[in-house]
Amino acid sequence: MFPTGPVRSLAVCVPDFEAVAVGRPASTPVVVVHGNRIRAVSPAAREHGIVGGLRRREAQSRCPSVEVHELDESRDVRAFEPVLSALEELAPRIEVLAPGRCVIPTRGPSRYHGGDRALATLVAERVRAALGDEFVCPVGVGVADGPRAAQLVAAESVRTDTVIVVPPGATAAFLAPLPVAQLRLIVGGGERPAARSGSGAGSGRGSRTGAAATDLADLLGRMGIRTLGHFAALGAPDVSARFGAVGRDAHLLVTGAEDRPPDVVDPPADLRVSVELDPPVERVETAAFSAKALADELHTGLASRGLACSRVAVAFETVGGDRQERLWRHEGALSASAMAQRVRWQLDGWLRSGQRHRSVDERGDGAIRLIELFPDEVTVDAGRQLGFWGGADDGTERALRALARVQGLVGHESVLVPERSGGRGPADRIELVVVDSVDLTQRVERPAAPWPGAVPAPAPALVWSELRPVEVLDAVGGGVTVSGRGHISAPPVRCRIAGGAPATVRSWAGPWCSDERWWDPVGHRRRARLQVVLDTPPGPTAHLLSLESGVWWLEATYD
Amino acid sequence: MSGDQVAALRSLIEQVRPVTASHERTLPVLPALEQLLPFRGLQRGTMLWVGGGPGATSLAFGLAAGPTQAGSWVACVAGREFGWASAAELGVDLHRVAVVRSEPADWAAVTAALVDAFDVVLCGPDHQPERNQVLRLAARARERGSVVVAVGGDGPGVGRGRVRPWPGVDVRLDVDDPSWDGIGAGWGSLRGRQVAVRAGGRHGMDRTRRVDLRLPGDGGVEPIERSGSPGDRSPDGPSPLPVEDTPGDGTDAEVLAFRARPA
Repeated sequence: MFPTGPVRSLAVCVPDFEAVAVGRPASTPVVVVHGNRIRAVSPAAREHGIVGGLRRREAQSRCPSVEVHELDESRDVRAFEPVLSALEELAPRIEVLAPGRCVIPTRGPSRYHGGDRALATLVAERVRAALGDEFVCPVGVGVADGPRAAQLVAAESVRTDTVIVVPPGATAAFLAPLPVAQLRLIVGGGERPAARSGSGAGSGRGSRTGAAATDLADLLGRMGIRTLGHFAALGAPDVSARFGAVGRDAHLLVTGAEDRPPDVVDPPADLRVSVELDPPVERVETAAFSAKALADELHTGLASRGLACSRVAVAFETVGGDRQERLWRHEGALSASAMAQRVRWQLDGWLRSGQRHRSVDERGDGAIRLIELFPDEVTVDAGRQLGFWGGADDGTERALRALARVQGLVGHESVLVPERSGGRGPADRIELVVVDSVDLTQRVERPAAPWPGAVPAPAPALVWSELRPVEVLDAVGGGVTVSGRGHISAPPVRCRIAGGAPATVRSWAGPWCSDERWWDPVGHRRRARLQVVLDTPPGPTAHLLSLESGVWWLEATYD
Repeated sequence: MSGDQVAALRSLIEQVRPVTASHERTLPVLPALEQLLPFRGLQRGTMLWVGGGPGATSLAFGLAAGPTQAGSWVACVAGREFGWASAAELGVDLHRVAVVRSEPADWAAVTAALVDAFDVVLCGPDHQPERNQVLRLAARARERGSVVVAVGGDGPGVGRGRVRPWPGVDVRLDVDDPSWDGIGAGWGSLRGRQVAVRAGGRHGMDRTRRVDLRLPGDGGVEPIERSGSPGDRSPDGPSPLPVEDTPGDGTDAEVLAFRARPA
């Protein structure tokens, strides 16, 4: 059914498009962050030594004047939409990977425009023109055998700042000197490693395979395989045996034998799903809501046949009769939420960019009447291997998004996560830190250290933030003290917390003395702690008291 | 509201009830706490009240421990004084916990945002929400399938204001009869506490049950085997607790009407 052999393709690559889409002048250093990690860097920021994957704070310390923007996918899509519409005039079939990256099969367009080089030059011109003066950035255009090889060539073209056309059959030779780290760009969905903490709803799956590709590139580097040529020189069966499906895939690519995914099957015709929107919809949110249900339906249909979708076509029809159809490609497989995300991207571009004004008139003909989804390329679903050592799962992604929303409500400093730290007091053992300073997808556990002088477990369930003074009295009504040698002056008999009613001490233990930071005149603290169980009206309550500078305080309560 | 209308609402509830049986949508809890809860877990979309005497906070941590170990995220609001070291000892995976410090005015907005994404939302005693805020939160939790655990109780007798029980909760747990061991007159140290937890509520919790626990015990929360069947109501136990303790006539119908409203 499909032609065999690589599909000659042209790839367009605008690196760090998220930073470009912000639309700031080229001289302004701009970074786009997501999940507190740098996702995209503008060329000006790169000159200051900022690279993807840094933390926000690190980036700011390298370049204090850098502008930090949060990732906004609809902004990216809106910025990329003019490029796509410009390219649609050159070629009928454009496969969009993500904002900033797309692939065009060149067979027809090249013949029409007079060869691969003519097409590539034309594409580069049109892309630059479409981005205009507002978005200044390098643009890479590359032609090679196979869509993914073309993406590698396009990335190389960004570096050399020329259009690169690799002659048919010479792809492997061209790729050979490239460093093996380039594999990160394309294998398994092209999600960059910096995107590991997730790129919104849809990337759950892609980022996992993306991580696998990063691991592959790292591993090859550690094995001394530095270039793609060295990797290509390995025997295919050995690569398969050692690196599994990801490795086999990458090996096919670098040997120039890139094919469609080897297990591509004909898409079943009856999987086309569509929804009529009545009344027609003008708002992205409303349409995206219907699209989510549609994507779920399509995904269920595919899953029931054991298939996964690697390229989906999304089509809209407006009341005025306009139809827009676009192909979305993913090197892994599109999950239901990833499909819904693509639909949303396309809707965003369609409804919010200037393009729709061509057809909209006062009657509201631009409203969307119909959404249609159909799988264009399906593969046998090989299943999904969940991360053995954790990683960002869906629950974490959701939690991260909700926390970002809550941060908007209450401020960055008020959203915290507990982290283990060390100390003798109940408040010191766990520290609440601002969520932005922690990578929630990769938590590291500090090893527990012994703290001599700490009160033994269990820890109190309530640790008071405001200190209440406590009177601790002995049998004759005198105050109880602790000597410098850690001896208690008399057994405590009665306690009065914060001027309340006095309560009888049922039992007590301690004192635990600590002499902390004695070398530091400012931070020096000497304390003695005492556990008491008091007879209070509803039932016995247990407290932790601490004596400092001759005064007893209620430090914590065992609630 | 007349009896006919209540009957009509009941039939409506039958019609709009989802096909999935509710007990299939539960979050796992620690084995020691299974007996306390209907369907032996935290039922998604429900609201729990943890109160009573000393030990309420520990019990709330114990309830949150199971879901975090199973990979669910727990958010905590209005719990400025919670001791997370204690939570960790009771089995809470702190890597699955987020703590939000908010002003009382933001409480409703923050909890609404949290129930959207977190499986368990722990509401501490720093804020006493209004009745309508609680009911709105309950409706939202029901729609989103998350569990709200409200912590209150008499407090540990240090002069902190008492938090009134929330209205309309599905399960109400009261901690009672605490007794500490391991500590004497000047010797030992606090080691464990035996408490009795009385569980009441609606939907399978109509009869109050009493479960004895060591909270904390040597390894977190430990059950205590009692002579006789532990699920039964103890003969000398107090009368079942009223679940809906806000005054007002037709409260039941009001709640039903609330439930029947489409999400």
